[in-house]
Amino acid sequence: MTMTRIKGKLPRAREKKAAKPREPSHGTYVYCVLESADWQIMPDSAPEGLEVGHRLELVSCAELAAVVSAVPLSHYGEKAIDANLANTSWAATRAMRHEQVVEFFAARGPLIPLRFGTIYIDRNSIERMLSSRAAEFRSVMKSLRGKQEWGVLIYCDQTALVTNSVSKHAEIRPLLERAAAASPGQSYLLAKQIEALKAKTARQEISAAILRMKQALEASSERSVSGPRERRRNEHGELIARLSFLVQVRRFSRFQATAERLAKAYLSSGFHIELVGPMPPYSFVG
Amino acid sequence: MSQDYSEVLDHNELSLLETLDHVLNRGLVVSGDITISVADIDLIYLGLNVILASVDTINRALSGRDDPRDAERISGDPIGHFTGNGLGRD
Repeated sequence: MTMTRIKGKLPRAREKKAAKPREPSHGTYVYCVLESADWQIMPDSAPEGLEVGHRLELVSCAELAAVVSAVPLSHYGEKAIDANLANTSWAATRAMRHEQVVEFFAARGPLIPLRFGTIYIDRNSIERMLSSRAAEFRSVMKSLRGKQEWGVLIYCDQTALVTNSVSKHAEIRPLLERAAAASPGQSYLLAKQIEALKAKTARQEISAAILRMKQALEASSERSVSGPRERRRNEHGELIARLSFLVQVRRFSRFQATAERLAKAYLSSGFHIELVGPMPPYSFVG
Repeated sequence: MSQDYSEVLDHNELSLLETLDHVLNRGLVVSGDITISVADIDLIYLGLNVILASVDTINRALSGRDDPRDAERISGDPIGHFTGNGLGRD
């Protein structure tokens, strides 16, 4: 499961019995990649890095700049990192610090956010990464300019869906009426039939609702992706879809109006929509 | 209808959970020349309920960064403790 990889330029031993190369004490953690024209120096207002005492710095190459800070390998090296990540509050706090850094720069220009946990041994390898992928980075950054990511979480209260929508379905209503007038034996069998049909209809209504909401929101955004399903619920019901949209900042009011219109239209059927953002474009960088 | 829809649609509320999901599961994964990467580590075991349980701890740790004790905590001691389902929302 763990894939801590050590690759690339290890100093070559000149003799067979040469001493093992000394391990560096710090690695270089990368948060995001920016256009260096926008960022010659690190502003004083920039947040701190992942670890106290290690300020953010820029590594520039090929008109791009990586936002980095040093991290002690005593905590981020191959041996220590697994134990630290298993400590949820350690990991979640670091993840939120990563986010604070990316958000600071995302509010000030286009960038490519890196996933949590990318560490290089030295600055040279970061420069090589920037120069070898420069064309790709520039094209992604161009496509993200003036846009933000918004998350849309759709919840469904299945009880409300069944009561307010599914039970009024043309196939189900006659069955409910027959069950009400049936003998106890018949009504047991009918009840089973009704439950199965309700469950099937509810599933169909949920899929159809997600599709219609997604299409409506796509009309006022640039791109969309569907996030992984995940069992989660809140007071509004079960999470049934997690969608991400890339929205032009100047078109956001239209996107928001669409979301509000959908929230109103689907409320009585038991659906609830949450809008989360703006976020750095994590879902649209590859 | 007189219902206040600002309650129905919670916009502009950046949920911590959703943010963590983005930071941990999305974003650019750099491969190739990278020297050490923890990006491939399966972070699923940061079980979402456990993350919810730690929201207070995370907020304290993030807001208390000027606290000199923070440096101590970071250089070794865990910032908090978990007891399974802890303070989960349910």
